[in-house]
Amino acid sequence: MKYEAYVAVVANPDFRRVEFVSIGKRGEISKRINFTPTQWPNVYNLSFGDIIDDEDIDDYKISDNGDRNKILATVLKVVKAYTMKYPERWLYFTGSTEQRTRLYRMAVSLNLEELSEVFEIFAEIEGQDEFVRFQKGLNIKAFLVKRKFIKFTI
Amino acid sequence: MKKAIKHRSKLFDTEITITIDETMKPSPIKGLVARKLEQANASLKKMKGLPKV
Repeated sequence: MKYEAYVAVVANPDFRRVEFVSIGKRGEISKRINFTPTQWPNVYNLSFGDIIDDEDIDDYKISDNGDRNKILATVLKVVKAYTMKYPERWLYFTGSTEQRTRLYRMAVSLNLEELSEVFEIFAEIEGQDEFVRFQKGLNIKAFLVKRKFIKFTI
Repeated sequence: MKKAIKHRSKLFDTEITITIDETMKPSPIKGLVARKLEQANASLKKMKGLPKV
């Protein structure tokens, strides 16, 4: 399965801040992805949204720029690049609304086979105190992903 | 100084080019970043631990 993505992405040296521009029917909309360390070692929170200014982003806004899949594919590409640079890190993320989280769940479900080759994908489920391995159809509150350790044998 | 990293995956048609901007600073922990981080910390605190992989 192949998806189109934005090819020009800018990041700061440690990848904590990554930006690209969505180009669609409403024009150009700048997007930012932040990877922020949590209180737990090697667990980083992923936040994503439209750039408001140099310091803040908005993840509630519905841009309606007609390029949703291209944006999701770009974010995923950035996550792949980030976890290639930092394979020991877990990424925790959730949508700004239940609808957005459901959209992420659908995107993961649709591409689970390919994504599972690269990532360990876990989900936080409401009312449960342990992360469960991602499966289609779960009512997910948040995601936790990590680059898969690939063992090479000779 | 800027340098570019190219990244290719079989999921995508296009190769991504990530340009590293040495002058770009990480976002400050305020606004949405702070809210999402607070939510993440609160959620992670309730969990028994990270999955074993």
